[in-house]
Amino acid sequence: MADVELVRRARQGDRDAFDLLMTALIDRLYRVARLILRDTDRAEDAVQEALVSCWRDLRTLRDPERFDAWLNRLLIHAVSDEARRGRAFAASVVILRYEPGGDDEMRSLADRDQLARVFDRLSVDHRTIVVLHHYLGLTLEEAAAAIGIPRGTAKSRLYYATNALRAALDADARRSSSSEVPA
Amino acid sequence: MSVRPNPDHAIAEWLREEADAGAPERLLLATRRQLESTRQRRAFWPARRLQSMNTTARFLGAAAAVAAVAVIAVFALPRISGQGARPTFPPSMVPLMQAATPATDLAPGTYLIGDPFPVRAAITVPGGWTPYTVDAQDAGILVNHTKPADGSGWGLFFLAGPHFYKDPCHPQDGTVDAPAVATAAKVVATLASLPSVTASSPVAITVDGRPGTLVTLTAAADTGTCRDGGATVWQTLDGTDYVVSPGQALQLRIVDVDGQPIVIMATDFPETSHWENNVAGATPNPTAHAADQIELRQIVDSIRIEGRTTGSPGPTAAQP
Repeated sequence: MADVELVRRARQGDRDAFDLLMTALIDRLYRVARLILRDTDRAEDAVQEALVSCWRDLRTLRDPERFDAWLNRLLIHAVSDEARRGRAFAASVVILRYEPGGDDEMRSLADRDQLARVFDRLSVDHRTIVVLHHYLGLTLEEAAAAIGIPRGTAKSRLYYATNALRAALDADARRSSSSEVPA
Repeated sequence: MSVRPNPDHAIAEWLREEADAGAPERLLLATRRQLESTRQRRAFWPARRLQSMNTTARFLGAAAAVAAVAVIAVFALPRISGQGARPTFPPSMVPLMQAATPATDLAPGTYLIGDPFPVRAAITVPGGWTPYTVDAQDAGILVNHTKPADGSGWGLFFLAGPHFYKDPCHPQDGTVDAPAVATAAKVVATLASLPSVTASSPVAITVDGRPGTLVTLTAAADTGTCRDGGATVWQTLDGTDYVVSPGQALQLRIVDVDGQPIVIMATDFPETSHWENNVAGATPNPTAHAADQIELRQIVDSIRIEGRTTGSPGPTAAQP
């Protein structure tokens, strides 16, 4: 959570206050951007754009208490712009049948590799909802607001992406059936 | 025996592992460098309105000058004061927000303030002024100095509704309740009761033949220690706070327009505004607005009021 007093001071044009805010938040912003974009350089560009937008438009923020949600929106917007500017991302995802696991072995290194492969092949939109929900811990409503989409769309994207990731954890399913469908 | 963790937990854990590295130092340094040359947009300008003037707006701006001739001709006719005779604005009168985009100059002329603002009024402006907004509760213009850019916070506003802060020193306490500004008389009483500002004795006036009340509101000397560094008097529909520096004054003309109380707020001090001094980083200048003050008083004298906006549901102040 951002320091509301710092937000208020920054809204008044206090650059030192904004620098403190930025320093405290930049790691989180960078991690989110890098998770979604899967590229360090482009993540840096997106974070820089989000922070500059944040400073430039901070005085238009109605309620300092809602700074975090507002900054999330700026970041997701910058990330989406960055994704559009770059090369086309993988537009397909492997959908694997998900069967709830029972007494399987502890998640292995292979699981993580498989998760990474599936995650990389998700579209930016799907990675965004996964990161907002599973990494930042936003509710569906909060994530939908951050992206600027209806709750139903967010729910649909999250279901689709999470299902693919869950399936990646199921070794049996990985071996048994796979097919590619458009994201 | 180990058990496979909940898949959602496993996904979250994997994401945390993937996101182990923090931002590189170069990102922080590069962002700082870019911020050094980035100026904050003033809160008076909603970001959505910061767009370059399009072709239509340019055309309308030119049309405004032509329309102004017709409008001035109408107003040049002998006027009949009193409640019985009201101006009827010609259909060709250009709406304020169609004449120019914020931060760009209006051509000298007469402009319409109307729907969605609950009252139709007209103002005649010289060069060097820019539209700010016309919405359901605020309508106004600002002087458009280039330094600092994007205006000055110095101008004329028509206000409708309960958007005056209960305590200008503590705006977080919220705005006054709707019943407190339900009539022009209640608005006058409410303004007189506000803490942290000094309200002058009410003076009976007329605005375009309508009876009204003039109150001068001056921010108290000790408001420099308040949350916003001055008296936060009122809030626009987009959430922007209007702050007045200690000792600075606003002239408020309170008029009843067919049951809708409106406040016509004009800055009335020659020095640089709160925004210029405290946000834009301008050097305080005791005479920066001396000439603007004269122009603004002329603009106030030019105000014409036709009446309530057609279809206006009722006094804005009475709405929930």
